[in-house]
Amino acid sequence: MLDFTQAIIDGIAIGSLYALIAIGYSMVFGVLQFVNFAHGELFMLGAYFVMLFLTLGAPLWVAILFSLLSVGTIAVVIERVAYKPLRKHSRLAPLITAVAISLFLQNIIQVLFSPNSLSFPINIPGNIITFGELFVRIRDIGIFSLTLLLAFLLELFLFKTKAGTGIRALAMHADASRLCGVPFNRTVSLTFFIGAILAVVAGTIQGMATNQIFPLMGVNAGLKAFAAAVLGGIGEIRGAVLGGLVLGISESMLVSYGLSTYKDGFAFVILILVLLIRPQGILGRTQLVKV
Amino acid sequence: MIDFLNYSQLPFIMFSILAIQAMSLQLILGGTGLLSLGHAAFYTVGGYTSAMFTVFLAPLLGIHDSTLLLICACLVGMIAAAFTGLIVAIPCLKLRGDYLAMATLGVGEIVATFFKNLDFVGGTRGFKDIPKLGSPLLIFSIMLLTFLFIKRFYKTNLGYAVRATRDDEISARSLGINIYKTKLISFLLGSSLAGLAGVFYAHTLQFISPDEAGFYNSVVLVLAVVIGGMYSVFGSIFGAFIIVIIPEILRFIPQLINPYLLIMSDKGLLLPSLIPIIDSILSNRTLIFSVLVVFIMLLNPKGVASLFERINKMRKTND
Repeated sequence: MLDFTQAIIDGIAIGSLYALIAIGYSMVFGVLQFVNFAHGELFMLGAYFVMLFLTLGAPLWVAILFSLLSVGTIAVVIERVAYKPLRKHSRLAPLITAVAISLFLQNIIQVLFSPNSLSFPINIPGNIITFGELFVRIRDIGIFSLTLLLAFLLELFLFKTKAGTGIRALAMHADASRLCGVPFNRTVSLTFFIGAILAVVAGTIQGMATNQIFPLMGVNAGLKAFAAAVLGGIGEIRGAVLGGLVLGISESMLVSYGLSTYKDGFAFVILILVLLIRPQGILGRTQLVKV
Repeated sequence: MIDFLNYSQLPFIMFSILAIQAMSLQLILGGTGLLSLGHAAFYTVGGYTSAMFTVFLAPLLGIHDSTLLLICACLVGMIAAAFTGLIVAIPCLKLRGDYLAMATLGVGEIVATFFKNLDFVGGTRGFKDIPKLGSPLLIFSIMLLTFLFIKRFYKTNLGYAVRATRDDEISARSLGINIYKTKLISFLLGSSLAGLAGVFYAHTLQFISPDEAGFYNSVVLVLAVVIGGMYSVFGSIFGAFIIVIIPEILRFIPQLINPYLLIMSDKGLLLPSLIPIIDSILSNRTLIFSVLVVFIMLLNPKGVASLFERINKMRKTND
């Protein structure tokens, strides 16, 4: 039982990172019914940009702010250049360009920086506090609360502001929302921007917690966060957070039972099982299929 | 000339193998309209199982004749891939559209993890020292046979049922077509053909790695199918050709462009310190390839087959 609780505690930090990335997948899918497979690379770019600005001598908050803005802009540009012209064509065309873009980003970072992992200039020490026999890292509590705070702010934005309502309207029914005056392209760009920002936060945390970043760090994290988004119910913010946490915790349980080499495939075993029992995900809503 | 032949042998084999894979995916993706993002899994399973057969089981059974060995390996690989296809298809074919894509994407990663943990076939390092079987010409003829087979398949009753299911499930069902069975058969056929391609891959390169089953390889296959045109079998061969040939051409780009860069920096149009960076960008073939893929998709999202159709239409209107 003690192992079990400890595994849950250990899984929360990585689960929070999955959750932050998963929100981006989820929002984009909600709005465009399209899986942005280049999203994992935004997570990687975020970490690299923060490192770049830090080495240029910027203080941490400036580095993070600049990184948020630049990666957000990159995400919007990617959408405009590579996805928007293909919107009317088959589902597969934007999917292929998305993967091509992610290959491009991985390789350009390898060329401009280095194919090997670099050490991140700032790190958060992993101080441990103990509760009885349980060990908790202080930074994990911070990561978890930051994730919940960001998810809460996002929900607030989606439900209380005009732009947020636009995103929700677009996700509900694209044509009807257009008729009601929601600016389609601007709303889609905003969705990509928000998703990118959360991915940058996750990338920065990853860099500061593990103290190293590498060009391919977005691949696995991206695919797993995608699994998390589907798991929780793609298109739902709360679903993405829940899915990320479930995935992080189940992975850490697998590790605590000595099966860490099966970790990468396990996310997808859970994904398929959930899809079979509840195709719309844990918190997803069923969509009516019209004839 | 001999040099050229030796050099071009590998791309030629890779093209034939990729074409078999792409056609087998075309059957599922374009023929039946099932969005599968894990096709590389079946091909990896085919490669691994046939290699396990030739390395471990065949010496025990006393099969040494290379022709017999190849036939047995092909059968083993195809059956294993079809069996994996069955395990995947029974639950997953009940899912619709995007959810099917998400589940099949998972299958690729699961297969990769599975082989990474199988230590007696090399684990993460991959399966080495697989005996060499099959010649380039044989693989090419297998590819042609696969092409004829799929073409012929589309002309059978089942082939028509498959495409009716793709176009409109509800009307197909109203005509008495068993949708689930039709999808299942085409999925199994597609995965076993992918397994066949895997057999040749493993026995030509004499190596197969678990990462082969990963998401990117599956997307490359989807790319091959889509570049050529989803609904055309020949299009898949063309797509495979493009995917193999472009990186080979890109090999020569740095040498071609470098002199111009030097001239430009002499004239002061370019900072000399930028030259090594541009050089390394140009010599990164994946980088250039990914940019080209985006351009190809933007210019021609429906694939090359649609170009042929357009030309045909123009010719007809001119008559």
